[in-house]
Amino acid sequence: MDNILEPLRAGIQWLFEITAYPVLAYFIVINTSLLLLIIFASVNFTSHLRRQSFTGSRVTAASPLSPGISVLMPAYNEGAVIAASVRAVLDLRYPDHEVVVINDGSSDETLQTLIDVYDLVEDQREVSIKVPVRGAVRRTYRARDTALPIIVVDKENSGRSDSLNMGLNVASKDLVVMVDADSLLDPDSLLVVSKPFTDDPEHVIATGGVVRVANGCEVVAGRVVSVNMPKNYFARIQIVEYLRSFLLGRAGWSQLNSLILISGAFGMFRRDLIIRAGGLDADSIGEDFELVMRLHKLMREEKRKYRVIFIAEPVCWTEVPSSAAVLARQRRRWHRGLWEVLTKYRGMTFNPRYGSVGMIALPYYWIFELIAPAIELFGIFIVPLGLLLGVVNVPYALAFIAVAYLYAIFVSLMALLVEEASFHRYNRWRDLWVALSVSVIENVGYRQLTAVWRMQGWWAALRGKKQVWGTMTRTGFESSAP
Amino acid sequence: MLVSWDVLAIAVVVLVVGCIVALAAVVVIKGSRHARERRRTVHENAVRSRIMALAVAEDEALDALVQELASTPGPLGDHVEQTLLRMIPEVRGDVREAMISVLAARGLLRRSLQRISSRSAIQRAGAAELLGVLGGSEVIRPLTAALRDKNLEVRLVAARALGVAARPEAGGHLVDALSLTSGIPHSVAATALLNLPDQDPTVYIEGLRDRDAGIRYGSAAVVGMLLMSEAAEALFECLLAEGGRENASDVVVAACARSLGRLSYKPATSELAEISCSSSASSSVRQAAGEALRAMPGAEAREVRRHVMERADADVRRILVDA
Amino acid sequence: MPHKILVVDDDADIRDLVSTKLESSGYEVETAGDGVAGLELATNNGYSLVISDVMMPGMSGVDMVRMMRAAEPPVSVPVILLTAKNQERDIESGFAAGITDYVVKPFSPRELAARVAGILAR
Repeated sequence: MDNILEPLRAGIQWLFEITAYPVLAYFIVINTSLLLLIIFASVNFTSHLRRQSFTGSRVTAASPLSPGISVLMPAYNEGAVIAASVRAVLDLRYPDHEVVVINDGSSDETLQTLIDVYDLVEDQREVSIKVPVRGAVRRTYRARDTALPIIVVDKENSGRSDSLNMGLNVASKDLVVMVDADSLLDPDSLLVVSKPFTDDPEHVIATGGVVRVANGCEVVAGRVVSVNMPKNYFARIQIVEYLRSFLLGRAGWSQLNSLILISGAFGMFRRDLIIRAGGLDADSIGEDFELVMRLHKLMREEKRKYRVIFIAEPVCWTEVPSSAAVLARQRRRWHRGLWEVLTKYRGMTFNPRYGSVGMIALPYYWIFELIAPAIELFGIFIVPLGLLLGVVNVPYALAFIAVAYLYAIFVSLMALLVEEASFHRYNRWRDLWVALSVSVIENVGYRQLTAVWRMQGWWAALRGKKQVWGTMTRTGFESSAP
Repeated sequence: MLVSWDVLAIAVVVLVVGCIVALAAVVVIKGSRHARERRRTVHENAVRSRIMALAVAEDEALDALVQELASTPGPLGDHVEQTLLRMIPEVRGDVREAMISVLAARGLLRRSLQRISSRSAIQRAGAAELLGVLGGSEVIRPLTAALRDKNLEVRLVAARALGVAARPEAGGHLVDALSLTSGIPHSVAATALLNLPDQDPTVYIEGLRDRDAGIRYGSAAVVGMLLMSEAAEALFECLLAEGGRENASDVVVAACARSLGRLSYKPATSELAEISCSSSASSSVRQAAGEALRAMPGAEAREVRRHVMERADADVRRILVDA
Repeated sequence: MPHKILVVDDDADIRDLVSTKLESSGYEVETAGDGVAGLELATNNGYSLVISDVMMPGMSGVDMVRMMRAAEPPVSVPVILLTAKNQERDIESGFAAGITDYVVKPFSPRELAARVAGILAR
C-alpha cells in the first residue's frame, strides 16, 4: 500500500509546490480587480444617481425629434405570450417606435395569433437586404391600420441571430433594440436606454440595459408590478449572481469605457453601424458578445471616439432557469460562447492598438472568466487529496478555504449594498435576509456545480461539437462575474 | 507552508470585518430608508389635502392657502416643495400658477437663482432644472447664460429647462445653442424650441442661411414641426444650397426635405424626386426625400411619385408604396 | 343623487388632485391605482363617467377601455382619457377602443371638470 501512496504523496506535494505561487497570485489579482471594479461601479452609480432628476425623460418622451427606435423581437413558439409582449412594447412610453416581430418558423399559433389580434394584412412592399439572411422569408405582414407601427416577418426556422438579421433589414428607425418575447419591459425602458444616444449622438454606439430576475415578481399583462424574491433555490441564487455581475461588473467596465458584453436581452444599437458591421454572426453562440466585440474592433480600427454604455436602471426583467438541467444548459452555452468569442478576437488581446478593451477588458475575461472554473475545480480536487494524504494540515486548509469563500461573500455583500443604496427594488426585510443567506449558501454546491457546467461548455467548444441545444435559448449571452 | 499563517489569519480577520461592515451598512441604509418612508407617510397625511385644495380654492381662500403652504416650516415644508415640483409638470392653468406662487413664496426661485452660479456643476444643473419648472420672465436670463456654461451637462439641462419654461424670448439663444460648437445635441435644443410660443419666423429664415450646420439643421426641423409656411421658401433655398456648401451635411438635407414635406411646399416636388433617386445622395437623405414626396398632395405629386417608383431604390419604394 | 365618477391613475398626486376638484364640483369620486383595479370597479359599480390615465403598470388605460367594451355585457360608461403630450397614437387607439373624449397632460383641472360637466349633461 505504502509504495503506491508514497509517490502519489510526493506528486501531490510537488503539485502544491509548483502551483502555490501562481494560485496565490491569481487569487490576489482576481480579488483586487474585483475590488477595483466595485470602486469604478460606485463612481458610475454616484454620478448616475445624482443626475437622476434631470434626465429630461419627460421632454424626450414628448419630442417628435427623439431618434426613432425599432424594437426587434424574434419569436419561436411564443404563441402563449406573443400578443401580450407586442402590446407591451407598443405601449412603451416613447414618441417614435415600431415593433418588428420575426416569426422564426414557429410550429405553434404564434403567427396566427398576431394576425388575428393586430388585424395584419400581407405587406407587399419589398425589403432591401442589407444584412445577408439564411432563413427564407415566407411573407411579411403589417397592420391594416397603417398607424399601428407593427411589422411581422414570417420565415423558415434559422435561429435567433439570423432572425434578428432579418429584423435589421426590415427595421426603419435609427436605433434598434433587441428584446425577447418573454422579456418584461418597464414602461420607461426605451427612454432610459436611448438617453445616452440623445445626449451624445456623436459618440454613443451601443447601450446595454441591466437584466433582472423576473422569477417571483408579480406580473400583470406583461409588466412587473411588484418585485419579490422567488421561492426557487436556483432562482434565488441567480438574483444575487445577476446583481453582482451587472451592478458591479458591467457598471465598472462601463466606467472604464471598455464594456465588451451587452446583454442580448436588452441591448440598443445604432442601426447604421450594426448594418455596416454585417449584423449578428449566425454561427456564433455568444452572438451578442460577438457583435459588441466586432463593433469595438471596427471603431478602434477606424480610430473613432466612441462609447458603449451600461445602464444600471432596472428596466428589463427576464425569467431565469429554475431547474438544474436548464441552468446547466445555459451555463455550458455561455461558457462555450465565451471561449469562441475570445479565441476569435485573440488578436485584440494585449494589443495596445485596441486600447483599454485590448489591454484590460479582454485579458480580464480570459483570465478571470474563462479560466476561473478550471482553477475552482482544481482546488476542489487537490485540497481534499492533499488533506487525505497529509500533505497539508487541516487547520491550514480550512483557513485557506475560509479566505476564498469569505471574499466571495464579501463581494456579494458589496453588490447588495450597492443595490440597497441605489435602486432598492427588493424592499422588504425578508428579501434582505434571503439574499444574505443565499450569498453564503451559494458557495457550497452552486458554485462548484456551475464550475463543472462551465468546464463542460468549454470542453464541448474545444472538441468542436456541433450545437444541438434544439430550442432557442432565450436569455442571450450573459457571463456571470465570479 | 505556502503562505504564512500570519498572512492567512490577517486575511480572515480583515474579510470578516469587511463582511460585518458591509452587512451593517446594508442594514443601516435599509432601516433608515424605511424610517424615511414612514416619516414621509406622516407628512403626506398632514399636508396632502391642503396641497390638493389648491385646485379648488379661489380668491381670498386661495391667497390664504398659498400663504399657509408657503410658511409651512421644517420637513413638512420640504415635503410641500417636493410634492409641488412633482406635480407642476403635469398640470397647467390656475392650479399651476398657484403651485408656482407657493414655491416662489417659499424662496425656491431665489435659492435656485443663487445656486445656478454655484461652483458645483451638479448644483448648477439642478438649479437650472428647477428654474425651468418655475418659469417666468426672470429665469430666462440666468438660463440663457447657463447655455454657455463650461460644463456640458449644465448646458444640456439649461436647454431643456428653457423649453420647459416656454418663453418666446429664449428663442434666439436656443437657436444659437443649436450651433455645433455648443456641444448640446441639436435634437435637444430643437425640442426646446418646439415648445416656445409665438415664434418669429425671421429667426429661422436667418438660421437656414447660417454657416453653422447645426443651426441650419435645427432651424429646418423646427420650421417643419411648427408648420411655419413663411419660412418654406428659405427652407427650399437651404436644401438647394446645401450641396454647394463647404460643410454640407446630410442631416441638414434630410431635415429640409422632411420639413418641406410637412409644409407641403409644392415647388420643391421635382427637386425632392430628383434627390430620392439620386445615387450621389446617401441612403438616409434619399429616404427623407421619399418621405417628403409621400406627404405632397395633389395630382401632379402623384404623377411624380409614379415616376420615382420606377427609378428609386427599394427603401424609397417601400416608403412611397403607400402614398 | 350625485353622479359617481371613477378616476384611474397610477400617480397618486394626479388621482388626488382630480378627485379633490371633482368632489368640490359635487360629484362622488372613487379611485383606482391601475387598469386591473379600474376594470374591476368599473364592471361592478355603476359609474356615470370614468377618467383614466393611459400609461399604468399592468394594464394601460386604453386596454382597460377595450376590455370594458368587450365584456359581456359591455360596460358602456363614457370615458375621458388622460394622455401625454404628442402621443397621438394613444388618442387614436383610445378612440378606436371607444373613449368619449381625451385631455392632454399637462392638463387643467378646471378644464377637465368642465368637460366632465359637459359629458354628464348630454
